[in-house]
Amino acid sequence: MAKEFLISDLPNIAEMQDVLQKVAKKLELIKLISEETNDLLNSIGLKGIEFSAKIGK
Amino acid sequence: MATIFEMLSKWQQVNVEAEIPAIIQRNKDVAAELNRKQLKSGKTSKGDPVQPSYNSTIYALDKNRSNSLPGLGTPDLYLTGAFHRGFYAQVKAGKSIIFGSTDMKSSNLEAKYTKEIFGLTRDNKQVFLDNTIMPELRLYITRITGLKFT
Repeated sequence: MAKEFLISDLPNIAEMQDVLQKVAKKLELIKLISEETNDLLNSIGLKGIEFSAKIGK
Repeated sequence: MATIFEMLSKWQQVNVEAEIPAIIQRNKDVAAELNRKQLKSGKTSKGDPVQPSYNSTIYALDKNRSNSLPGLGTPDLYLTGAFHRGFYAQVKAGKSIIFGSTDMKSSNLEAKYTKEIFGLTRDNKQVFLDNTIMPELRLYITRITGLKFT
């Protein structure tokens, strides 16, 4: 005999997961933009840019 | 400090969906203790007083002398202590937490006082989250990404 609760019902968990997913998407977007930028540069014979911006502390 | 590419690589290793159930399982005794204290206060997981209240006024007064937290007449389901000692919390399939008691009286008490005697109130869920889950989750994220929480 027992009672079951969904972990996703814990307060703030869903919000945190949402923010973490958004950060992942933003980082992926930056990676995609940098790759596409370099592809364009390379297509006309230019060397690509080194995307080495630092993030975090 | 990491480059954006390095951070993306680290970020892709963060798996909170798997980590949160693991944190809860590691701290299942904390969750069970919160449930125990809640019931000692005569509260169900909905935050309401445990019902039905005692039929006998004399018994209610006697119980109130030994534990006044639930208020006069509200049961705390504590007599020998076996039911409370048997409290457990268990993660099931990484998606849910099961609260119950291993005591043999459990099914009878549940039939009389409903399943709501098990589980945590909204306030206690918040306490469990703030004091137990979040500190470990922050450490987990920092360990993988190197990012520190302010």
